[in-house]
Amino acid sequence: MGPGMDVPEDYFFINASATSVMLRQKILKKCREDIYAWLNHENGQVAIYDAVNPLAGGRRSLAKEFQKHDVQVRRA
Amino acid sequence: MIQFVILLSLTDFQTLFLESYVTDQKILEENARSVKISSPDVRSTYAFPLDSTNWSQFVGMDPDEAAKLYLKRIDMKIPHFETMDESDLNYIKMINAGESIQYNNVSFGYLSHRIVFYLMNLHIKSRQTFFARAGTSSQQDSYKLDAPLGDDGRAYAKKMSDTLLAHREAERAALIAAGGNPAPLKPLTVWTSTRKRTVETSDYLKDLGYRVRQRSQMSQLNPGVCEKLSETAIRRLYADEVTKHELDPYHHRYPRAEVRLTSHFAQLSCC
Repeated sequence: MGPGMDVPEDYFFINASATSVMLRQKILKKCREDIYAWLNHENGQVAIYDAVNPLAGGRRSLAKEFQKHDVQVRRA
Repeated sequence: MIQFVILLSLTDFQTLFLESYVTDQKILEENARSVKISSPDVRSTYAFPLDSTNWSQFVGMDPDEAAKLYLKRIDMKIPHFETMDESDLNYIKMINAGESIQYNNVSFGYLSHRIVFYLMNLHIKSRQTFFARAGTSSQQDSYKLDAPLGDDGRAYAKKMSDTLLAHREAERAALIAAGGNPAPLKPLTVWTSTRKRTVETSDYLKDLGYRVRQRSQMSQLNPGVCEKLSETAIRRLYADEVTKHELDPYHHRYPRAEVRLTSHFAQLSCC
């Protein structure tokens, strides 16, 4: 977003606009990439992904993504 | 109601979910008020763009009102919540801040077990910790001698204790004046090491009826051959050791000196 910029008004709300949702996804993806870099390339042992993950489906796909990432990392 | 965090850990990329499941309205309000509303982040005018709340809106607000607004927002933002019940995922569910704990162990490793242990011993209630030096001893002190307090040391112990007690009372008075809870002060427990000078520094408080506990983990470590030497002297006498120390300060130890392997501050936060 760049310095001095604030997130859109509806950023944290359920019925956010499509652009806000996209921005949210983009930021979350960046956070997860930070975690991968930390664990894989910076000798990190523990990382905390602090977020509200209220739905079972979302949590499963998150666990799956982390798992998948592990497999990719090991093959590399 | 909930707060939710995930922790992803270890070399083998284990995923562990943590859920704090709260049904006690009091805990929620207390948490909203003390952690969120009175946090330094809120007092500043800067709003963290990635945090779940636009903090700047709470600045200058009445704490009760701000807590209410904060909780209302959580309700609005997380209207559908499914508590963790996935038998195929690793998770720890802490209920009402430690009243009970459930966990689902699919593939817990060492760190996950440590985290369970830590959470079982965690206090989230607010508390204060004060750090104070021990008084000085009567004679030329050394690690081996473990000398008792001198007159100056005893005078210091009294002054320090009186200052601490006055500070606690003043804080309470200020809180009540600001419309806070006129509850009695939280009990004060004194931790000392097992060294004579630290135990004797706490005697004054002990005589006043405060609980004093000795903890060997807080004791001074044996400084080894470098005891009482100035940095220049150490550099001159043990140049090799200084080089080794600078290369690896967390693992190196000076001849006959002790090192501490794990942090005992973890204990402080959980006991």
